[in-house]
Amino acid sequence: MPVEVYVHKMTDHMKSARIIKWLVKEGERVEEHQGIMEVETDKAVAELESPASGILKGIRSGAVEGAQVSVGETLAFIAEPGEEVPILPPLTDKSAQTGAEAVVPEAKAHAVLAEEPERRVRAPPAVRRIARELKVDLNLVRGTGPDGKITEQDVRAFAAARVAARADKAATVESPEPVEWVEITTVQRLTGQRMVQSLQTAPQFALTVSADMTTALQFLEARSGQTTATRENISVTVLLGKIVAIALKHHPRVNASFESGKIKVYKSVNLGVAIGSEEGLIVPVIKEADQKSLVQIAHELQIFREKARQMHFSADDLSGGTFTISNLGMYGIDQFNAIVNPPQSAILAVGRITETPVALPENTVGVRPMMNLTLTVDHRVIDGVQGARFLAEIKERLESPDTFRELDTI
Amino acid sequence: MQVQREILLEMYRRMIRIREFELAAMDLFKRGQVKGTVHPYIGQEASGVGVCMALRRDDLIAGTHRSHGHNIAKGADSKRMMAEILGKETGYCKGRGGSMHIAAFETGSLGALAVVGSGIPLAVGAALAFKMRKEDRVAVPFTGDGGSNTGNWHECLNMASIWDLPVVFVLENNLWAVSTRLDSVVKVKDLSIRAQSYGIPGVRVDGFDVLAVYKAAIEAVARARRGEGPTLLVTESYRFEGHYAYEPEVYRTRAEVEEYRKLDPIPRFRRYLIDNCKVGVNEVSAIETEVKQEIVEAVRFAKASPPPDPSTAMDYIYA
Amino acid sequence: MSAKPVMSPDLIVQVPEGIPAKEMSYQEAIREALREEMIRDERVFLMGEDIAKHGGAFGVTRTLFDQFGPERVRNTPISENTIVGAGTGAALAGMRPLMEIMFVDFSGLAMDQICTQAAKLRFMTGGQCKVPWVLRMPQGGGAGKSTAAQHSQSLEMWFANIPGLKVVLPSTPYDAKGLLKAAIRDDNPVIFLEHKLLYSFRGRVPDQDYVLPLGKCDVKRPGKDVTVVASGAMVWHAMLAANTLEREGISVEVVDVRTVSPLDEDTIGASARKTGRVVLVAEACRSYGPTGEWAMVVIEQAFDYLQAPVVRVTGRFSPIPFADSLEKGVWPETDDVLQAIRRVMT
Repeated sequence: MPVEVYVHKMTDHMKSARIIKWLVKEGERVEEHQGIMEVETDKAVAELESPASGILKGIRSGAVEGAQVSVGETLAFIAEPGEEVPILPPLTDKSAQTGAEAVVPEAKAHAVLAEEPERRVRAPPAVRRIARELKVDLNLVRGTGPDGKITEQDVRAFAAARVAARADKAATVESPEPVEWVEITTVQRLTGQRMVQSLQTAPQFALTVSADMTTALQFLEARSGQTTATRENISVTVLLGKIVAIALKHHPRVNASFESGKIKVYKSVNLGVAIGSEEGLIVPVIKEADQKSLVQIAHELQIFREKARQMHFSADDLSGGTFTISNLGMYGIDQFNAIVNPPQSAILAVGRITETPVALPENTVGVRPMMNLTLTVDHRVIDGVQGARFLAEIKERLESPDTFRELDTI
Repeated sequence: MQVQREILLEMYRRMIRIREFELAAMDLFKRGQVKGTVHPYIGQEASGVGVCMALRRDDLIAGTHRSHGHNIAKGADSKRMMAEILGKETGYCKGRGGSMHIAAFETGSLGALAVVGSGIPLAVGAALAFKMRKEDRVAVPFTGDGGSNTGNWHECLNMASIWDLPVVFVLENNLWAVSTRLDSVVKVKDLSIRAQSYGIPGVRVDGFDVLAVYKAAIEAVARARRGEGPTLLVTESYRFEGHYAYEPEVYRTRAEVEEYRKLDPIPRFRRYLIDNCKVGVNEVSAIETEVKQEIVEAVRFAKASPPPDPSTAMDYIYA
Repeated sequence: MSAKPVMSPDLIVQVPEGIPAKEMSYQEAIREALREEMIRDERVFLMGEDIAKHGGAFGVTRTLFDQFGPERVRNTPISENTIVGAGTGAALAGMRPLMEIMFVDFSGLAMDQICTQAAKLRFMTGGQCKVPWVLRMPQGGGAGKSTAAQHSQSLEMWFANIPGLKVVLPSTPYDAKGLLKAAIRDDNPVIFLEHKLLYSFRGRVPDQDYVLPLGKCDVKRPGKDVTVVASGAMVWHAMLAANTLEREGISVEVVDVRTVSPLDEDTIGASARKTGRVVLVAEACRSYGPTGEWAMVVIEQAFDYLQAPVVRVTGRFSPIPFADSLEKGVWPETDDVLQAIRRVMT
């Protein structure tokens, strides 16, 4: 019985992927789990594993490099030698997302909530034409018509808002400057889309604390002197990651999502750590971070950094995150407000550690290594008090020697 | 009745022309150079020529699917006929009609019409026009024994008779409508008596005798021109070839065909001309040679002619 | 046609008050066209059953026999195929005949001469001839007034699908006269369909000679919110619906097709692009009827301007029953058009 080869869902909201290249040719033998194809998802490049052992046959017409394929769409078969496989109709081109669709005579009820980046767009032909003329991506427009249909006003309002935003920047430009058009990667494009969607749907606000890193830095220096079997370097990010993970267990509300009008609290703490790469911002996930040791976390993070160089993540690496940490300290940033990474409800932005004059007890002044932590939250899930308490606990743990005594043992 | 020598020779020429034309057309068909098929008039030359020689150029005929012979009998040019059969721009219909719709309007032919019986009303209408305009022209629709069973045929004889239209209805009875023999579909033996139902004269002649046909046609045409109304003229003939070229004629016996071939009107008229009209053998041979050459030329002309330009495909749909 | 008394000549005003004109019925307007063309061109003559002294089954040719005599107003035997065939032959021989078949439903008897001969002769002969005739046939019906299955059909599509023919379906006296003159002067075979329930509809017709162009729609009522394309008697329902909706603030544009074939695609397309919402109304029964063709024209010409799906209102796909109780749905009513317009407006 031939086994179907298809791109399975690899990230939370993946609907399709782009074929980078086939790793096996038609007629060649493959083993189960052997890499069959490289695909680019909305988050990274991943390898598709063979679902079975056998001969790769019946590669569908159109399933070629650069083709955009849907999750679950059969692309080929693994079969016995000599076994016949069905001939599938050629793939249809899905690369144009805002092309004209056939007019549908009956309106179907379709809840269009901006949770998923690639929802099916509903707009009549006239509105699609206007969107094309105004270069508006209908995926980004919220429809206010009946059943969430996008109206002409929706499109024009979107374009006007965009013009206003650009106008601010272009206000000082008096004569046309020579420009260069830069291609953006899929990752960048999709990240951008998600950020827009995040800001459009989640009411976000930020809370900031400054933490005194004296004790933490002492701990890290002591650890770096030790030699471990794997020679891992525990960084501030790793330390923070562990502390945040523990704190999330005490503040489950911060480890949740807003979905269909309800709050979904995750049982696991899967920590996303933002990493820069050539293709853009990537957030690999350390699963069950609260249960992992510092060494383990450091190890995983190191592997992720290496993978970021090749942009070679597996499906699992990039999915399932419940909270994200983003550290721009190494770039000299004192403080910044990150944007919540949907469908998560909170993100922690970390600045650099800098020697800062601080007020000490008994009216004295000292200099301490201070680090700014900014928590951005989705107000639908986390309000000011809840966010403040969470952030306060992180600061407290960072500044408390007890924390490090506990961590030393693990 | 005395027929002028020129007319007799022209009759012979046209009969030979039809015969040679049909043989050439069949040959082209056999070589796969003619699209569709052709319906040879071979054996019936005397019928068509006898009638058409009794007509003026401005009289109109309307044909059937078997009308190469009618058109040629009425004076059509063999080059343009052949070009039309090959679907060339130089054909009478600029390649649009083909064998079954071939029409040489300038010679007074409304053309071949492929739906059995459907040319008859056209002739009746033309006759109506002649009468209304008080012209002494005549319209002559041809049809076969099969066609005389269509509603058209009866409606037309009826209408032409009550309005006394100048029509000569020519019924070429060749006994076979494709594979259907006359006596299996018509109760009467003599088709000319059908005229009685319409109160018009019905005449029956030997369709292999060109002069007999001619004489009967002259009379019927004269009646029509005098305003005395239509005549039904039945010519008893036979087609020597199949309904279409190289048809496997499973419905009739070789013996029957051979019997009728003995009545071939062309050698018969040839003998008559030599024996009774003081026409020399050289003269008839010269005509034969000339016409054969003419047909060879026609084939050459047709083959060398260009097909219609595809960009003109939408021409002539509307006036 | 609905028996409601709200249909009135005022619904469609084509000749403004200033122009010298007479009010006459659709039937009279046709007769006037026949009369004037027969005077103008002696090649024009009439042929049909009972059209002479009797004046035709619907009285259209009344008085013409007295004026023009039996040569030019000819009664024929019951021989539809030969009526048309002889007309074709006369046309080939230089006349301009006008044939009448009593009901379009009888045209089946003449289909060979209409569709296989007359429509194609010019083309098959490579342009050696032309067939300048007009075949007039009453068609259509209405609730409470139809003569059932074999006398009430709308069959314009039978002929519209044959290249070489032209098909005309006028909705008003003004249109009927102008279009019939155009048809008579046209050198092609023209099928002129008269809606039998419109024969008594009255309207102003100018005194002065005028000819309307074949192959052009007429925008009977300009509007900006929705386009209604209609033909024949349906134009009246469209106009009545448009009037009603005006009070609700909906501006309806009514496009009268007038010539079914060749279809004026540009006018339909321009209107659809203007409003973005289209309703198609035809009496012929639904499947494979004229509204399918018009819908494709809308899609080809105006797809990117559509705000809503194209909606149609048509006759029911069934033979026409006799009993009143079975008639509902066979004939489109003004209410059906109103509902359809409201649907596309949401």
